[in-house]
Amino acid sequence: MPKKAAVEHEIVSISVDLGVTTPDNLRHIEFGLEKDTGDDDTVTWTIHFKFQERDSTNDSFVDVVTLDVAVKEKNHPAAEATAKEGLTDPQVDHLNGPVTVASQKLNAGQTTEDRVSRLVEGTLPKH
Amino acid sequence: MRLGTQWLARALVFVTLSGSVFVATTPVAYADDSELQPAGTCDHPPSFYSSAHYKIAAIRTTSPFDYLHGVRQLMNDALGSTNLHVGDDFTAQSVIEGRRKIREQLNQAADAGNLPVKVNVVSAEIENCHADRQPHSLDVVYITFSTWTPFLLPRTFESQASQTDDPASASGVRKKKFQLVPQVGYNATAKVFGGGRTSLATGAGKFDAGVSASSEILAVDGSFSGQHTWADGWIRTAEWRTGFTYDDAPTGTNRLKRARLTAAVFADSAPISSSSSIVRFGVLIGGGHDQSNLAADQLPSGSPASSPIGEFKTYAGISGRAGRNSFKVSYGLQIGEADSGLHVDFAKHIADAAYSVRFLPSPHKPLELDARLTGGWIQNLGAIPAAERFFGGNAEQEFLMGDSWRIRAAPFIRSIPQNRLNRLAPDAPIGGENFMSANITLGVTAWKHPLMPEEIRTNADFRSLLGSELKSAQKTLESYWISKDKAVSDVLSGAPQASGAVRELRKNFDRVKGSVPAALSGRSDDCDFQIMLAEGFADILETEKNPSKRFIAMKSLIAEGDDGSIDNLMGCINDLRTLFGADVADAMISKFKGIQDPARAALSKLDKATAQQKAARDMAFINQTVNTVVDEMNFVSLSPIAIFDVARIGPQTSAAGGGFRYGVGGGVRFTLLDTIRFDAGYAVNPDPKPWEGRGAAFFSLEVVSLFR
Repeated sequence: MPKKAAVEHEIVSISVDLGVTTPDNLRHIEFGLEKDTGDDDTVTWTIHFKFQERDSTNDSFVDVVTLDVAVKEKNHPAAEATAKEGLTDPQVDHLNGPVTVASQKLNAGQTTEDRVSRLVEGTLPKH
Repeated sequence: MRLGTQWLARALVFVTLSGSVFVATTPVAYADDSELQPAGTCDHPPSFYSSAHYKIAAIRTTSPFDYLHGVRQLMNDALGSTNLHVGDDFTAQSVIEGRRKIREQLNQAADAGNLPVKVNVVSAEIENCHADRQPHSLDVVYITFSTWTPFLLPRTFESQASQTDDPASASGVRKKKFQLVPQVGYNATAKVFGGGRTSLATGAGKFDAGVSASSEILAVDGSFSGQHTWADGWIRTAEWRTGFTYDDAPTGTNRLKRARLTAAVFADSAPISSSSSIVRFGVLIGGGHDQSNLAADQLPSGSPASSPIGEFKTYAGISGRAGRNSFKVSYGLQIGEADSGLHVDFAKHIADAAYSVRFLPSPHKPLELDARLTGGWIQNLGAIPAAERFFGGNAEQEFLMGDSWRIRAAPFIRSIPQNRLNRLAPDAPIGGENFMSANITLGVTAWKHPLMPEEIRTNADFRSLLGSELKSAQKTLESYWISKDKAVSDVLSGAPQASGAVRELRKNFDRVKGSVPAALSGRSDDCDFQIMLAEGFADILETEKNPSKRFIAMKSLIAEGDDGSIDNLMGCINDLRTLFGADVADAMISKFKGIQDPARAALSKLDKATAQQKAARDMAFINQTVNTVVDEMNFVSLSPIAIFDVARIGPQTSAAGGGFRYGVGGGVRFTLLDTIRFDAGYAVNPDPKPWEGRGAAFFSLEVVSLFR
């Protein structure tokens, strides 16, 4: 009987975080993904999204929105692909456009966190 | 001059530093395999180990940067605030909590750095799973990598060079207000010497003082300095420094003494356009006394053995790097007066060029080549004090003491002791009025301890995760640069119509939303949200002055099927057509299509290739740094080195003073963090003259470019 290949280590939890400030130093976007395997071996993916803005480089960045979004199981393959292959152009455009505007609307009390969270999660299927 | 004589104390610092990393990166030993559950391996999912009540035998943190006290402390503090303890039952949840805490702390530290791009990867793993032990046990390992950490280290040739006197801070290991570094060493001219350097940073500036003394030499210096850095503008950093120096060293049978009080101002530029090159310039005024015991009849007419001196120095230079190549070219001019009265007695010119290249035949085993070419001449305009003449040897002499930009000011040859290259004729050890020297050093890494821990280097997922995040950063920057294209105005030409159409849709939607049938209520809610997003874009188009933000809003409106886009709005209009009425719906769709089509055509004409180039340029240094850390950087390495030097002072008649002198030899190089380089060896003088030895031992310490 062939020997089972030895696995020296098992990854329980991993996170990758990206933060980019635009070269004009007026906007800062953070996008993070984390993957955890729980005690029942359930895999969960979580998106972290933060958007900061300022009117002038003399000002400090102000948090427009900070979100932690649990990814639905149907989007797990897209989360895995995004983590391993990076954001695509449509994903970047989605974060820069609708997600940014929705964040501002949330900050102004014009929409709900649930709505914005779904919009953020909507980044993944665009991969 | 002092640089070459402070080697031993620095070596002691290295030993201290290297010790800390070896502790942090103890390799893991695995036990024997067995058929089903090889001891030491972990080939089950977490539930297996938590339900079997495996105990946590050890908790380790690993990072390429855990030699930095701050990084190590950060990870340990993060874990200290969790419920994860050695001896506890393993649970995935507690391990995940630890990973989250480390992530949180790393993100906070990165935010404080205010850097344009950050990537943090944190992994929590289990290993050394032992079913053969009672109780069963496993280790928990946290692995982190942060692209921003290297940027906390000095990153330019110049800023690193400024810390030559402090290897520990140059390596990023510590930054203290008060420092005291003892030193002890030996060279053939100084014999055994001892001393130390101390510094104290205050709000007003920094005090520095140093002393080296032996039976043969005495060197004392002190200074007070300060600097200012600008975030924008052509000049990036300006520095002022005032201080004194005193040197007393033999030249063989004679001695030279120099004493100076100086005041100087230096500045360096921001990187020139998109390159990493910078320009540096500065001026210095000083006064003091030069003394020697050379006999007056040995010296040329008009060259006093001792004299009061006033001097003005100025210099300019450029340094840069491209890939694994780096260079520096400098010119310095000294104007001096050797007696009382305001008149110029001599003008000293120095030209100095350095080039370094690093090849990487295999990961972490670089081959390094360093070359230097220096020349100088003194114009005799009345009198040249003896101490201002050129005396060469195996100790560096600098044009501007204390400046971070180091310009070699005398011939350097490692086979001849300090100041002993001094003869214009067999009986004229009086120093030269001109010189040239060329030096080549080749080092091949023979043994290394890579900075990147084995757990990370061999983790296949890690590299792809890191690469994907860097790719994402580049995509984000591409999106920014496309918004800066001059032709975005063509895309924005339909902006007033676009925002007007969105406002009209909102008006029509609000008119009918009270009469939405139950079957369409879900769709109506969704359309309400889609219109709200489009209104957000319209707000930006109407009020925002920043064209980039207006462009992003317009681009979002004309995107294919994205939230808040015209595609989605037209979908809503079609789905709610019965509510709007066919004529109103058709009119709105026609209006939206009339806006969308030309805007999309204008969007397709934007120069995406240029945006990609600019994003690639923005990311070049970050990518290079990450690749250097992952593939090249060693915490410590040892390399055999080979050296070749040639030097000559003049004027000599028929090479009566020996002509060109050579040095050929070898030794060993100890490198810490690919930043601090300590060379020691022996150089043979292949054709010694009667007044010369067979060779000399050489030692040097350099702070070199960290990320080339």
